Amino acid sequence: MTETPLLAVEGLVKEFSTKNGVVKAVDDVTFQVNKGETVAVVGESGCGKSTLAMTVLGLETATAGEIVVEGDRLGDVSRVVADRLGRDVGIVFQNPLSALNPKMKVAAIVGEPLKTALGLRGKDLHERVALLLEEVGLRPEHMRRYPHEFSGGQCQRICIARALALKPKLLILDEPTAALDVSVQAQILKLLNELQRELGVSYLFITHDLGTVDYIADRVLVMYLGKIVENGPVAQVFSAPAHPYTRALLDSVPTLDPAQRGALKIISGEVPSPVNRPPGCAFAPRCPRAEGRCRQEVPLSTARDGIREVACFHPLIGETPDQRSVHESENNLVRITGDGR
Amino acid sequence: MTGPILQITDLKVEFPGLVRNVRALRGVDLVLHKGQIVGLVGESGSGKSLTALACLGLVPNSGRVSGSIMLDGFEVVGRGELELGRLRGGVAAMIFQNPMRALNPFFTVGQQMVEVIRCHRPFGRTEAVEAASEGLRDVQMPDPEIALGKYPHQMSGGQIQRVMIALGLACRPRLLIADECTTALDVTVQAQILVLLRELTVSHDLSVLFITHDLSVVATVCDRVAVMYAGEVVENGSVTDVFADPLHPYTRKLMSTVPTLGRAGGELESIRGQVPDLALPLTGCTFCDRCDDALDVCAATPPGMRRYRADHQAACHDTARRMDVE
Repeated sequence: MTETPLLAVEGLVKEFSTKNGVVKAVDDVTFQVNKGETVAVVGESGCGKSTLAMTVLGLETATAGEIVVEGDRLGDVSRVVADRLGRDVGIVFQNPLSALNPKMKVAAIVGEPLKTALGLRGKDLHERVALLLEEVGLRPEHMRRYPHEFSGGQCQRICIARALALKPKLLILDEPTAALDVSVQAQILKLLNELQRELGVSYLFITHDLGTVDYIADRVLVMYLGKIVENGPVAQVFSAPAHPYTRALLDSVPTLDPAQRGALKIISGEVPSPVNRPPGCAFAPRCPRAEGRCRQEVPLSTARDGIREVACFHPLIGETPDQRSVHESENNLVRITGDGR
Repeated sequence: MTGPILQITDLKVEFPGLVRNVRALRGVDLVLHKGQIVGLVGESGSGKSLTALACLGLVPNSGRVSGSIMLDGFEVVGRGELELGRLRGGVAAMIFQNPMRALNPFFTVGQQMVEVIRCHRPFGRTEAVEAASEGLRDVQMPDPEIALGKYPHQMSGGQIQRVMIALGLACRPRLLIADECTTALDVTVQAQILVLLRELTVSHDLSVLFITHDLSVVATVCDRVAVMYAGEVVENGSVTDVFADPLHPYTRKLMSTVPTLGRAGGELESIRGQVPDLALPLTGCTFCDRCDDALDVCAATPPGMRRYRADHQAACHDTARRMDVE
């Protein structure tokens, strides 16, 4: 892996000060997104997924850490570069109806970024908007309509068209299908897959639905209380989760098979308050494998290309003695190498 | 297992429109036996929530309701507000989708629970408070006494949903109607609530009408399932039968559109077309425009509900034809 990743996030921290103290919404997060790749971020509400997205997008300023888009640092760059970065990263929000201005027609909604960023006018603008709408499976005549005339799925298509208008290299999808029916959700997921094949755009896909992750993503980051606890290729993470939290998440997903209903396991308790973060591993109070050490030290995790990472003292795999010594010698970092390595 | 707790027969709800009337429910039949959890699934606009509202006599005033809803031996359709008031909360209670919006933000959880309990049970204030904290303990709320003094915004989504369930169960109803009660929750919390509901059906002798669009939740928690499409029940049966061998093409399609774990790389199916406009007159099968197996007869005659197994019915011409051949 010699090519520079499209997005590299290094030690990102985002704090919010509240009257109850400082909340570390994103705590020392490091990951990369390569070109044409889909990286999913999963976790429960309040774990910092959306804050992470907003910080990457530049809508929130990071407290510490670096966000590098194609070699350019976000934040302390000149206006010209900042503008370019703005074009390189697009976003699709969760609720399509509230993300679209009800007083604007579709032509104006999709055309606005083209007008302000590229200065397109008149016929050029019209043609480009028509093309974008076709790309997302709508027809050019839809341009003259208002958002309320569309169904939820169609509105989400409009949002995707708008996000794609400036040909971004990275699209942040913040729970894009959570507000949609399953049949419509399937259409949108298929559309996203097709667009990725055609345009080579990368996705940072934020969701709490693990089934969707399995369908769309190449890699998955599991977040818990602001930290990434597991990071790796979807197939490997889901077939053999290493972090007890990932295991717990997978176990609580209901399946379509009524015969397997007994398999639904629940983890006790709730996510601790980020204001009152427990010392040591944040998952320790709910973890069946937690020991004294878990409650005192924070397990570390470091990013390396093509390798799974886990932030846990007692991962579910790597129990054999030789691997144990590896994890102790490498400063709590457990690397589980992928198949065929 | 004596007699159904809820029996809906040919329930129709029509809303008058400027040009045409919208026939939101077009003849729903549903039976819920005691101690069962029945899932009601379908896409938005299929009439799931309206069916639930009708069970409590909560259909908006403009709606015209006909048919019959027998709730624990009591006919709901056509009753006045006074009689319905005793029914709501007492015989049947409802949990809504968004728990944050269902509670009043200006009152503590305790105040709201006590008010409901004193409406239906002959309790003084102290007894009602005790009943409330007992109710919270039943739904496994940590520190019920502290929780009673909290305002809704001070609680997490999972906690507030537990409060809603406790509130629903506070007056010992026979039937609980849960309208998408886990949709807004995280998977881990959803799993906790689902397991809790299953336990409560046993410990409280409760029946549950579980409304959801999530088929995997139905497979996990329900005994029977009814699939709704365009204001009708198109298939119903025991969960095992329906999931093993769905007889209606809509049910089959719905199942193949769900992205599930362990199906990576496989293409998702989607259902082409749109749900039909319920304001327009519908001839034939409502699903035939979107159906891959549609026959000529489908567009002309509506398929009737037919029984294929002891506890499995579906309304589809194609299925009838195939089963007859066999």
